[in-house]
Amino acid sequence: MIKLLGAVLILFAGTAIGFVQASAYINRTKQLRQLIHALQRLETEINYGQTELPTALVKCCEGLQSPVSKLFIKTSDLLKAEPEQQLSMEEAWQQSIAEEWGSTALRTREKEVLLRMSSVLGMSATHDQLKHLQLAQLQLKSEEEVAREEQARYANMWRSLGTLGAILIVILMV
Amino acid sequence: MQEHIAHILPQELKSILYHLPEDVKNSLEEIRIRENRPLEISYQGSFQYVTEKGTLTLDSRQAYCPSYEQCRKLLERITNYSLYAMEEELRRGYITIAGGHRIGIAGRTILEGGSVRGIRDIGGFNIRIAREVVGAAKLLLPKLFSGEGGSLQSTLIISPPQQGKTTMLRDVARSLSYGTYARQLPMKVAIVDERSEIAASVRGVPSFDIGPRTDIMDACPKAEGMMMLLRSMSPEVIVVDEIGRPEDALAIREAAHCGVKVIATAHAYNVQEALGRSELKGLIAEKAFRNIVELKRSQQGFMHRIISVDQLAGQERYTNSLFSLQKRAEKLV
Repeated sequence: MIKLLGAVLILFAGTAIGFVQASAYINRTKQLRQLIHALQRLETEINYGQTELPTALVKCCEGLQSPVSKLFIKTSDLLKAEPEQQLSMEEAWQQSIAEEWGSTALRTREKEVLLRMSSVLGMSATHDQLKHLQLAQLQLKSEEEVAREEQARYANMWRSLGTLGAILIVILMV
Repeated sequence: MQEHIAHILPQELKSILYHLPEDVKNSLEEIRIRENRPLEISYQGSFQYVTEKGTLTLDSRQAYCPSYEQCRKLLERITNYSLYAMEEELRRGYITIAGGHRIGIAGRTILEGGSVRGIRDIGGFNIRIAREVVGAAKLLLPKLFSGEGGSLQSTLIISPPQQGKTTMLRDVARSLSYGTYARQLPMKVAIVDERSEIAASVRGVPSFDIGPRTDIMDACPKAEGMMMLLRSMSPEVIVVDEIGRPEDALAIREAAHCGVKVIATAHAYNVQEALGRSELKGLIAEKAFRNIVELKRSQQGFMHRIISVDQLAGQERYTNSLFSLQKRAEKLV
């Protein structure tokens, strides 16, 4: 009886591990897409709205889901915060990425793209800003393609691997 | 130090300037920040360098030098992290911040088709601290109501630079709008603020109190702005700074035809010099302005002298020559 219960538990755990691993791949593509959308809207805010960045950062991620939108909102909050903090744009991004990155499924390469963008964000004329934002989007898009391929390849694999692995352990134990 | 300025300064600079002697702090006129070069302030008409401890010196080698990072942070805060939204301001070479302070900037210009499109690599800032003098026009204003039945007359205020023209003009606009000094009814005032000096608008909202019945066309070319306001805001008085171009004169004539009074300023040391400028001479001869006010700033405050255009012209009844009008002015003054 206890053996049976243990076997079920192992099966359950194995499957769960597989799904969690798979969802990391799925979330990464999803979040990359959201990030690209946010940057596109930021581009519009800068180009047509001439909106100032603390406001534009909030506006560009309206309607997006939590971990990605938080990156932008946090940065904007830091910029608007008490003047004593005196953060520069770059520092504000660094800080919000450091705090929020853990809760996203994004990887180091995306982080580098964002950090590189943050060092020039806001500090040049409109057409220059647009170029930088477009460059960042391009890089994120190529990451997204890779992420999609990986998702197709590994997401299913992890799902079946989790269950199958668990079954293997159960068989070995029995 | 003024709160709005403290807000934009990087931490290190703020603490240095915070340690300045109290009387210097209260009479600061300019803070000049140049990348990797001595920090300079000017106050009470003189200048000093500032050391790291916030003491004053005239030896530039002992002075504190703001770093690249500080200049960059300063620029970020001045522009609210959005240089791209300030292209128009950069083309003009200065940015107005909340509180009406103007920050002049210098750097490398970007050209497009031979004209300046903006400034990049900004390495020099001149923070000009604005002070509002409420009541500057207290003595002058009642004298401007010298028309029939005590009505307001169009007036040209002339003075050399730095003598308080804009301060006076701002207080005139405010007082007319409130109806304070001359016991008149509050008037509808329209200001064309080409250089954002009179009202110091930030995002369309004036930083200075310029009265409840005042409309402002900010950063707008004077002549165009006057015409726009005439059409759109039905003002009783138009207030405008630094006139002198032919199109300004056209707009002022237009306003005079509509029965709108104009209060304007112009750079000139005295009436003779004003009459030496063809556009001003034309306007005065046509009596588009009825009063000319000469302004000087002294230790006691603002000094002014009012010259009535009728008086100038009246003594020249026998000749219409403008040349002798000018000579008459010389004798009068």
